[in-house]
Amino acid sequence: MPSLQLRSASVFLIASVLISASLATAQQPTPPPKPAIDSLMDLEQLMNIEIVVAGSKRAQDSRDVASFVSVVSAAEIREHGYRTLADVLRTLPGFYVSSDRNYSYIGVRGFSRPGDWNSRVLLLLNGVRTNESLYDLAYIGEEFSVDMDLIDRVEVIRGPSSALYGSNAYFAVINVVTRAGSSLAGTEITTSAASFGTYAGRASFGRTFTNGLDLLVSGTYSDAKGRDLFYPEYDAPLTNNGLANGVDHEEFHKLLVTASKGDFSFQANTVSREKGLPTGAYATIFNDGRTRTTDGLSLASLTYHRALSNSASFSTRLHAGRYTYDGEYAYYTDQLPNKDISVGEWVGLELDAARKIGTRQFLTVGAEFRDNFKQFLTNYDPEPYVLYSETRNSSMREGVFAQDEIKLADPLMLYAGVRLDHYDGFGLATSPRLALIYTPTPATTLKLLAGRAFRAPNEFELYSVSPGYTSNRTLEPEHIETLELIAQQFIGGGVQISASAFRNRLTDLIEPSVDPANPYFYGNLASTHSRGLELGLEVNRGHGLEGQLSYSLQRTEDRATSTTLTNSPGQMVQAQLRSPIPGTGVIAAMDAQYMSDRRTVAGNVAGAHTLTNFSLFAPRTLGRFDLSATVYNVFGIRYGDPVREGFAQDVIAQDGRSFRVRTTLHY
Amino acid sequence: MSERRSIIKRLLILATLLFGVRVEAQNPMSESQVKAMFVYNFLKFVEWPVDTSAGAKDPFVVLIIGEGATADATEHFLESKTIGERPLVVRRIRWDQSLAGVRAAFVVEPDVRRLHHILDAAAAAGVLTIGEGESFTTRGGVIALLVEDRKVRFDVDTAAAQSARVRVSSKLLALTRVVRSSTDRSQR
Repeated sequence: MPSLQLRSASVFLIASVLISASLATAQQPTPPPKPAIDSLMDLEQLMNIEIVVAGSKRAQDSRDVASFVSVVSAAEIREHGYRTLADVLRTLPGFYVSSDRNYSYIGVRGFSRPGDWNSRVLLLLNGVRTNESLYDLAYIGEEFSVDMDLIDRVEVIRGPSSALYGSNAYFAVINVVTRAGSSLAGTEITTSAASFGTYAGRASFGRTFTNGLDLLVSGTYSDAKGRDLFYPEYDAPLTNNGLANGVDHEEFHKLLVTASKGDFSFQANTVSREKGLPTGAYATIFNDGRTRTTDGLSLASLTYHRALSNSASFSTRLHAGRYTYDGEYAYYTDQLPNKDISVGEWVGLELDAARKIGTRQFLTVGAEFRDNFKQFLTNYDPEPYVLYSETRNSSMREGVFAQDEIKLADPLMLYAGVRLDHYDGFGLATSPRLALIYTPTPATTLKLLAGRAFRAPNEFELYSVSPGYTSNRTLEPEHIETLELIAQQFIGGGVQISASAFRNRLTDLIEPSVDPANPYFYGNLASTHSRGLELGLEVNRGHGLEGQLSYSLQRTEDRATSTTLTNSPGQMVQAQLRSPIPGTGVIAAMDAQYMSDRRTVAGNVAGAHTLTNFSLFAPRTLGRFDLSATVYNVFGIRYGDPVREGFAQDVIAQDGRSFRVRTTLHY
Repeated sequence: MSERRSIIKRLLILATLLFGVRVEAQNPMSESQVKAMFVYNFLKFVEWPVDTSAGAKDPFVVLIIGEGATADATEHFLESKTIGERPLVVRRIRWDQSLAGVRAAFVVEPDVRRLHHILDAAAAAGVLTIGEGESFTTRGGVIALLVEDRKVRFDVDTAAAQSARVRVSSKLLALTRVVRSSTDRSQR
């Protein structure tokens, strides 16, 4: 009986998504779903209702109180018109983002290394790891797993969290929490148009059914023609005088299904994106439309969370993933492009249990197993056939962790955590973390944090060989040690000020070599030292004016040479402001990010710049439509980001002024 | 024949009853939705000191302090409702903002010291405080929502109600799981 219900429900919802997609322009109002039970029941009736006990999605928040945490809400994403996670991250204190017109790269506290596809940041989707098993990469551009409209909030936990999460939780953990089906209560259709021939559409359906099943199904498709670009480095007759025409295209689709009922929750998602490379990267033929990359990531997980009582809980999760990368690099006009292919497949199991001990302690213990049963990397020329490399591997990772929260005195808490990981080929790694949290008054919090984390070399760094690149199988894990002091003070009227001082020491950093005369390879090539200070001001007047302002001062240098690292700005200022325009129901939002200059790989300088974006958001126009318009880089500032080795350009120019308009229909 | 028919009839009735009960039992709502309805009902069973400055149709302001599914559901549920002829107005504020001119507040604050700050301010301003978990009333909140055996229950602290100068009706107290009168705040 329930399975029949479930089946008819899924048929219904697939039908609804299809129908609503076809009605997208017809604006046919459908009656809203009838509330399950009359919303004005009296107390006696309420006393008899059986409820669905809330799931585990919030359970892990508390584990990370012992960090500097930022949360960006769905409202902020909507009102500021953030298009990607990269847009969100560049507004956070200490974070910056750079791009090579294919992928976006996260910088944290003055640290963003060339040749690192965000492997030093752990990116979670509803608590499930999205970093894949070959490059450990985290997607933050359009190739990120879910549509931005489906995000309920983005939680960003700074500092090493390897004590809880193991490898990759190095500079930060980013957890993207998606909306529940109940928050849609029907169907949403979004269409958008943006600069450079970009068109996108989304159809989503979600609701809670009367049997307690909460369901969300959503699909997104986008196609962008891209920009015509000019690169002075290629300004010669043989390379089309530096003009890259029609080779900046980007196309993607993504699907998400989440379902939860009682103690169980399920999610599955898939994304595939194809991007043209307009930059002539990796010595490919400039302005050749055949050079492109296609990235795919599919994830599925089932989580069971049980609150045993108010003071104990248990949860377990089974998850699986598949990552595919298909790169085509045109090196010869008369031959098929070189193929760079990767496939990673894995399954994993996570267990954790939390329990209050007496009145002063809260203990969390857990274990994690991951079987990377397929790790396939190859690079070849199809015709004439030349095989540069082919690696078929599999590996196991196991980890156990424990964290204890101890109330030492009323205003003083101690968090002590440790995690032990075993990686095939690298043995055991220990990641400890200690935090002291002192709240002398309700308005004041002081935190002292210390931790150590590690990152094991990934498959790509160990084994990949392609034209101009060689492998290095002697790589060792790299380590980070951090120390941080945070002070937060509420000063009344919804105003909070905060300050954070940090010191990071990285040892045996895994980096690509820089000598273009020899094949590039990855080695444990550097040790670095970072120091910095972040100051923040946050104003929140409920439904009125809201804003954040932050300043970061940081210096990250190579310990051997005492020179500042490349792509490491010394100072940043970030501001966001949102306010309703009185009497209109429209919300105006602006955000701006200043970044000081950055050294490049070739020893030049990418100049300081300020980006300013401006948005208007009109919710529920005519009762059913959300309208929004955003101008990005309002002042058309010219700027560029430093890029890794393998580019003729030292700095890749970024977009000038651009716009996006959107409508979302709810019914 | 007629006997058999009546047996079938009885079985059918029995099956309907069982099935009917089962259908009802299989109709759970989300915890936060149910809690939101409770919050609305509490407002109807609490009396405040007469405010001569407020008109019979003036807005009745309820604050929501903190984040979470119940806070969201409560905001959503109360938005279009009324208390008598007074339209309910819901405002979300931060824990350190003023409670003046307000009748009730739904409070979610995991930090115990901040929670005490809010509850002290609420008692001084004559604000009914509603929260979640047993510890909410032991720490000085007036009404705490909690879940027992998959059903929502609530505790009332009459001493806290008194210090906030609100009167909880006997009808509400009759349905209360635990009525506390914790003048002793040693647990704080």
